[in-house]
Amino acid sequence: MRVLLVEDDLQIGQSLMRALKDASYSVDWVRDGLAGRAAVEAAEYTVVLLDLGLPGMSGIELLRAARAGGNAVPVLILTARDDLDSRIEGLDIGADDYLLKPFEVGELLARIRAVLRRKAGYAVSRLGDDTINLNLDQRTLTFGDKVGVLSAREFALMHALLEHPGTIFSRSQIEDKLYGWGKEVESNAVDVLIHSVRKKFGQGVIRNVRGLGWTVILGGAPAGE
Amino acid sequence: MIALGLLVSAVAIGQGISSYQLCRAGMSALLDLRLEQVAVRMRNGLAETIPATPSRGSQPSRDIVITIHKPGSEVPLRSTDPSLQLPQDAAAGFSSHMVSGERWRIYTLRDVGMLIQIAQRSSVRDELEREKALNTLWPTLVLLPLVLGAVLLIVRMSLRKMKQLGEEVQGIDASHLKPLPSAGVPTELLPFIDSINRMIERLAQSIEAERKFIADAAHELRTPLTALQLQADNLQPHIVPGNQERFNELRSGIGRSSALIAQLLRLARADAPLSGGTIEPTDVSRIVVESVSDVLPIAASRGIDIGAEEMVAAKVAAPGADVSVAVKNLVSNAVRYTPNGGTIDLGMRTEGNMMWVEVTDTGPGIPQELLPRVFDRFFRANLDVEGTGLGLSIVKSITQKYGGDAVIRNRSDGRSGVVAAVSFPLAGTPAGSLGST
Repeated sequence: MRVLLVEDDLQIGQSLMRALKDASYSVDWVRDGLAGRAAVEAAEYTVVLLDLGLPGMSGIELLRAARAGGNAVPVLILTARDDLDSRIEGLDIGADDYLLKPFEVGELLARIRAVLRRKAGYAVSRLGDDTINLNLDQRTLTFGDKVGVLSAREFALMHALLEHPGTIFSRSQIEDKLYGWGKEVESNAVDVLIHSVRKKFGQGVIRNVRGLGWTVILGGAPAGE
Repeated sequence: MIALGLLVSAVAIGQGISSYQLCRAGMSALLDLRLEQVAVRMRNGLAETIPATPSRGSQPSRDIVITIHKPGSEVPLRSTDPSLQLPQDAAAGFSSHMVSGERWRIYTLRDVGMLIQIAQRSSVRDELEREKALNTLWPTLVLLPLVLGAVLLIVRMSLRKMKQLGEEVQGIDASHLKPLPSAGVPTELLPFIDSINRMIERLAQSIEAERKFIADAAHELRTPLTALQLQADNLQPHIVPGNQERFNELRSGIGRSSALIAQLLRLARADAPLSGGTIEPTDVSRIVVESVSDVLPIAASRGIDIGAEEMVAAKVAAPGADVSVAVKNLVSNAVRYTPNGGTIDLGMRTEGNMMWVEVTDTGPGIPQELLPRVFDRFFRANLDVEGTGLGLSIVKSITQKYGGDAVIRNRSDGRSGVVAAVSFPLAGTPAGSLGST
């Protein structure tokens, strides 16, 4: 897999070259915007790692020129600019992801893999991680060492929660997601549903956040209750 | 104003005294002129009209006395008051003499074979003069209070504008450097306002320059730090297990530096003046939920019970990104200082036109004497817990920028821990629209 690295800083460039080579990517490294544009136009890359502050031509201009020319190569912006506007601008003109300096090598490699997966159009058939996940094809939930089939309502509940893991949903938000607008919902319907999932998988599968609602935490946080 | 009043009064008194004196002098001259004219008329033959023996007691005291002598004769030829012995040796022209125990003003005219003396009581003259002169004081007496009133009114009006300006100046701080309005200001004050405005502009420029420098410096530091981070990461596979712990210390040092730089940039951004334009009202309850979501994995893994007590559905006049930074800072502080198994409560309430978000923890609290310094840059009350010392400075800057405030106090319910609170003006209130100008 061939990676184009557009980065003007010598030390960062060298370190990234080494890290990417260690991860078995072949890397072309250019140090200014114009050379970067020439490289993007000349060769087929699996992914482009693009710094924004470049001599000759800024990363934003380079990206804009590439997208205007119909080049759909995956682009991951690496930048020290963390204001919301630059982030939005970068993503708006066609970057696939945005990584803020300083970052760890592990995170960069994970983001590259994620960008490539998205580009390849992998259908998401599983929500969650290794500690808790929902298999969308078989409608099974895995939590720790427990695996079980869910009822339609339970599946809808876990789907809603695992679609945005870590996000806290209030009772009314869950009701809206499960029952749709304007339907008459019994006041304890959500509690009954959560109780039945917990009965199968244990208390820790769905976390109650006092005063706010419920959430699912990835990463195997131990059951607190 | 008192000085001005005194000045006006002094001028009025001075004017009164001088016109009084002038008037007396004028009256005196007029009365003299009368004496002289009468004397001249007597010489021209009118003396004959005076009866040789006037009826006694018929002379009003205010009247003038005419005496005509033949030279050398003791007894006057003619006199309106023969009992009055005017001194015949009086010098020609005007003179004053004591006669019969009274002071008289006498005009003496010596003619051929005739000594004409016209006399008037000085007391009568004085009385006449005083009477007329006092009359000239009336206009001043009437005008003085009017002028004083006018002075009071004008000064009050000018001062009211000054007071408004003073209040505007009071509101100026590093995050609100707006020029003073010159509309309606007395012309005399315009140069003053002008130089203050220029000073404010220079101040704003230098503060902005300092802020830009911090932002630029933090920005520039990111590049070498990124290189350092990557170099360390590249070393990772080559570290022998015996050195792994030391290597991890190195990496956590790099992580700390990154965090510090990120906070410096946030502070520079929080200190930036409002760029103008309208502020989209922000739903704070959404941010409270979000900030709890953010720390939930850590809180859960440490057995900390985090939750909300009271939620209010109201919007504030401050951008979501900034409100979020402020609230999340308080929540992450609470998580860091709360021991395993502790409790963190979030609450929202409205007070006046302010919305308050309170975060109460069961941490160690902050020594009372250190509380006033917790918002100072780089100040850290508890050195056992990792931090940059910038979080609360950022919170303070953000809240004050939109007319809110940040407050930290120890719990007052007997438990250890702090109550950290931020406020923002409610959207649509006068204080709220202040931020959106």
